[in-house]
Amino acid sequence: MYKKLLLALSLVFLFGRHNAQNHGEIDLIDQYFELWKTQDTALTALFTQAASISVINYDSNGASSIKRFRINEYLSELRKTSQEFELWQEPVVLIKRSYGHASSFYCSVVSHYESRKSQNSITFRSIQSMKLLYVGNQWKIDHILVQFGRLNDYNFDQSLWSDTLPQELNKKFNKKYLDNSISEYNTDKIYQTNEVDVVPITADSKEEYEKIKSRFNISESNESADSVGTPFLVLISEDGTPTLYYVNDLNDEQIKMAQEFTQSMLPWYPAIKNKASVKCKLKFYIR
Amino acid sequence: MFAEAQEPQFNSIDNTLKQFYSMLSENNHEKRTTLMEQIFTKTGQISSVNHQPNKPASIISSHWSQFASGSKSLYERYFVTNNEVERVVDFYQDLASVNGIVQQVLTDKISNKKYLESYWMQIEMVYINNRWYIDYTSWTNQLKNSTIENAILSDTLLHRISW
Repeated sequence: MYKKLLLALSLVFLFGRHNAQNHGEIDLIDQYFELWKTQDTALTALFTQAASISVINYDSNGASSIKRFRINEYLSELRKTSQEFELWQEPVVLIKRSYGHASSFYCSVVSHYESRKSQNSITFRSIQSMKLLYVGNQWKIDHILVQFGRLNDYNFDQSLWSDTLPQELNKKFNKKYLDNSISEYNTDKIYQTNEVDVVPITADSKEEYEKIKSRFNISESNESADSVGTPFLVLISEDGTPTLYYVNDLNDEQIKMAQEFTQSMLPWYPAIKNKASVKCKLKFYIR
Repeated sequence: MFAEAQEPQFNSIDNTLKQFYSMLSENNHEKRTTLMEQIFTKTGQISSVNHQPNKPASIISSHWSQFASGSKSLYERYFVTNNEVERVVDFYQDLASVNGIVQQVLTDKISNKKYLESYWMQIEMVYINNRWYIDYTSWTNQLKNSTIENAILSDTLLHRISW
């Protein structure tokens, strides 16, 4: 049903890339939400044998816990709830990632429960992170993790509503849990080389560039298993300035070398996307 | 004077992921299993997708403890190191969905020969009792004809609600 309404542009992206098995993943998500509404037994066939659904719950003090359901248990819970309520839920925005035989959907979902007795109803949002595997020539759901808002006896939490409605998957996070590292991984703004129209090009001559790499024992690939390098990332900003971006597994000495490496280079010609210069990250290996 | 042994930290996503990768690189079976017990929720799940040339992918899903015992022979034969190359985190309140690219190096303990493999790591995390746990993780190895970095590129789909 809803797959017909997906943006055509998204579909072009979806089906044109990395070995995807047609649009089976979207069909599966579509079937899941359809069968969820009717609590049809066929729902169980959409999951892998080891599959589970984890739901983050809160007690009246706001303390969190996690409850994991096997699919039969989940279906049984759904059916119990449906005796009291008419159930409905659909995804609103889905962020999809896929590679080979694995796929994931990070979705905002709107749910509506209507009492069969009183006609009172509640509507709320959740985030559902779904992991899919391509097993036996078809896509199956392997895991779903559900984060509802803090509902208290069906007194609807307005903050959840306002948090999830307008921007849907705009990142909302309780700052007390947040460490500084997260902001470094914002790929919305920093592109990979395979996402840009023109990749960054060094302003150094080819000979000079090779000399600089050789001086610091750095290469752009790591194909030799006998001489394994440790990866790190260099950010080429919109004005072409190279800076060290991500050094997670480098030791102190290697970080120093990587810093000197970036400082030894002339500014680059920046990456171009849609006729504009953009930030782009380059991967190097140090030995 | 001796420095006190540091307890593993799980107070942030970053620290918990560091513990996770450190656990995957731990050579001692008992230590590795103890770390897994600390990192995963009690019912935590691990799935692995192993793409193989000219064969169907091999897919294994199990409870983390089964993975711990099932992978013992791998660690007996190889030193395992995992270098995290990239990380993207989608998060909302007490749920964090992590996508990472990891380069794994297996070093044969006898011949010292090294084997390289790159993986897409998917790690589902939950914040419970004032700390982060991993509830689900899966890893997928690189295909021959497609760079692993493609795995963390995202497509956004919009769905018009029919209600």
